[in-house]
Amino acid sequence: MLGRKRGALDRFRVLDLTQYIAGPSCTALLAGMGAEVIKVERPGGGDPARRLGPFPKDTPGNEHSGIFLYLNAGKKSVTIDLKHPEGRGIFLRLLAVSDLLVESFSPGAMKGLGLPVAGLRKRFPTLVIASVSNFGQYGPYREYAATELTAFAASGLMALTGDPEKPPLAPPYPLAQHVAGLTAALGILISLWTYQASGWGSAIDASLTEALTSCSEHNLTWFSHQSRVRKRSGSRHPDNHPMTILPCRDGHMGVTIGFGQWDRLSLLVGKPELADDPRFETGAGRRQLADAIDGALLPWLAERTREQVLEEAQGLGLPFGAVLDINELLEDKQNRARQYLETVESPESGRWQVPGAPFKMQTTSWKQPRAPFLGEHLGEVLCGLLGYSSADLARWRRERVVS
Amino acid sequence: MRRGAGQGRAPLEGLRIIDMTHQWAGPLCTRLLADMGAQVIKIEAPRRVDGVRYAVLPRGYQGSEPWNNGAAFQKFNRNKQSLTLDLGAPEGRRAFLRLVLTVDALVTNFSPRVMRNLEIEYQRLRRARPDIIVLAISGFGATGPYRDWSAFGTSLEPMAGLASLTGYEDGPPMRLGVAIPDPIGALHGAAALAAALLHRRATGEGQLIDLSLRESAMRLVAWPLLDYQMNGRTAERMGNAHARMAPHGCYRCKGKDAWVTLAVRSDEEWARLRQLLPPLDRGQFATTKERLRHRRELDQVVEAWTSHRTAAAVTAALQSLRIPASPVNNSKALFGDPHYLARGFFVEIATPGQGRRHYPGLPYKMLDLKGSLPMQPAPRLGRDNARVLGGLLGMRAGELGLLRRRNVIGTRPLGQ
Repeated sequence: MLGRKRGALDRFRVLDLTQYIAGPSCTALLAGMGAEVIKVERPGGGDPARRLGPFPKDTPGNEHSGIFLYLNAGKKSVTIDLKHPEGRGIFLRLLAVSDLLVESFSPGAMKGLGLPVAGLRKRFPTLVIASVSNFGQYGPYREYAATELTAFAASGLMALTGDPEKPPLAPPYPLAQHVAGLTAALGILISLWTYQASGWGSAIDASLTEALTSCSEHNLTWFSHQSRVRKRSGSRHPDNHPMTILPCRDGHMGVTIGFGQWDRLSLLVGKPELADDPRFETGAGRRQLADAIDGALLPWLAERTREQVLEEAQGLGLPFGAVLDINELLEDKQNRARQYLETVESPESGRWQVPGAPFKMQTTSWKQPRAPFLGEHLGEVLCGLLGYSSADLARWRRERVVS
Repeated sequence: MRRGAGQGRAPLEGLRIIDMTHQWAGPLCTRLLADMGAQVIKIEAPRRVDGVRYAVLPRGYQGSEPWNNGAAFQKFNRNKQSLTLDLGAPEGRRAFLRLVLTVDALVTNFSPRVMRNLEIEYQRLRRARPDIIVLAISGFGATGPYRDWSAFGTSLEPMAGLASLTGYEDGPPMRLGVAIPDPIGALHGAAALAAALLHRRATGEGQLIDLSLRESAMRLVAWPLLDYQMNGRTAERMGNAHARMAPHGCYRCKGKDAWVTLAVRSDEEWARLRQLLPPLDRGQFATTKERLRHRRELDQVVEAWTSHRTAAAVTAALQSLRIPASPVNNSKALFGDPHYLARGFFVEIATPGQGRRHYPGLPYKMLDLKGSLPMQPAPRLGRDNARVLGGLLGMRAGELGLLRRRNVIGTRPLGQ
């Protein structure tokens, strides 16, 4: 049965001009759901993510970058020099048979290549074009440089993260690039739904900063409704408690209770008298007395491992969550039972487990096969799909239009 | 003039979705679709309304109907309709099953156990409506040993491995200031639903989408997961420092609790930044390797320079040299940010009793829609009872009155 499942997007062809993480994470989602993604890479080095890492035994190699292998699973790679007139001609032929173009150059770079988005839309009226960038395609900061760190700061999330007496803190994982890729994917899918039927194209402008700001919780409404500016408050929630991280015997525990669960927490830690104390009745009241509450919880936690805490807390319906180290995700019971992890391989250097489908679709499939070698699919795409002859291909290789 | 969505229908007009979600991940997911024109019917039982209705009430709120006046509810439920319906009552259940026949999709974020108790699992619904699409959002997914565990974003961030990576050097694991698995799950859910709709249009097949918030958040940990397997390296918390860039951090600026972030990605960028800094020993910090080795000393040099300048001035100076930098913006700064203003990122919505307020708009721009989609305030509880049950299902006034008397529908939470 599994082999016969179709991907939800297996009738769409995507031309992928993206590099690094944000754009490729968008097209990785589309490829996972079955879209044919043709990655157009620069001859020579290709996507710079091929040189990012991590590398097996810390030994760099163009086909071994872990993050590249993860984000480009199942895509096809062609190498075309878009600065060469003939390369641009091949690219336009490809565009004519594609449903979607995704690019992540800095704003204006497409125009510099002689491929301005407005012009492409005129020429290919049913094409959906998505651009992913730091700050978007227009506006005063459109050309600003950014990294994960500076995007996190610009978005408003960093002001909320970290200890009050220390500098604001950013996470070390590529959050901004992933959510930007996700918002682009959402805009693309809505466009395909709407415009495919009516024969219109569409242009999506996704940015790291807007995608991240959209992940803000209530702090934006605190300000717009009450002119209150939220600040960082460590792992504690600013106006409810407990929603925090506390140490236990073998590590740390995410200690959170839902509405009306204070009495259950009091029971859990063997202090039922706390349930009757009116000072602890509301989340805001408990937040005022957070130190006292943590003081009551810590001895109980210190006697128990994460597994024991989880079992007892979840047994009472309390939404606790253990702080798991990354290596523990490999052995995690739930991940195993749901076969969450997928394998990436690099034929020369090994096989590793990576995160798999972000959601499980029951009727349609998710696929995450091997990532392409640089230029692996030149023949298949140029000759097979576009009908060029192998003599054409050989000449282009010689003239370094493709490589 | 080119025809586009701005001149015609909203992109998702004509889609009808039942929204049985509460709190954050689910309501944000359906709002992303409602913002694009889908008819989203939010269903709440009078005896158990969405708890987020009471979040972010005006300070010392003493007014009437607090459940209709919370700011957080406004943010997550604009452009939706509100139907109250108690699925625990037989009449409520019957109405629900009739409603299912008229919609394209159902979105829930109950735990799998509650789905079973309410008898609204996909396997049941598809008998009535074979091509229904059900997006079931939960903390850990609908299968596996943790499936019935309770979960909040704040407990999934640790369970997804994210909290173990976040924190100061030698400090404990930490949470971000927002419960990040919620919005990540919301975005994935909306994308999955759109893909399922495309598949249904091509094949006629509906389906179940089983979305675990934890699984969608774990997509972010590929790097340390691979590094562990490839090199046996266990990720260590290192504050704002970076393994391959220096300087890379958050530096104090002139002003109260004012900070700037900056990142130097190459020796060329460092050479440019050096022009701004006071003279250093010749050759000191010239290579990435040296800068990484003397990171603390380097951070002191940088902070000595930033601490006499505003974050805006540091950012402008670095960006003019094409070096990444940004102030650590708080919410007040965001609402006045010239870039967000120029892009129309925030939208203004007039809410009865609250006046005109600003909210984040779409998380991405669809260029044909520039500012043209109307935004409606979140509905009062039960506002659309007659429209949905009468208009859509053809119930008569007498039937609605009976449902009201039996508290199957209503416009106040029971017990209020």
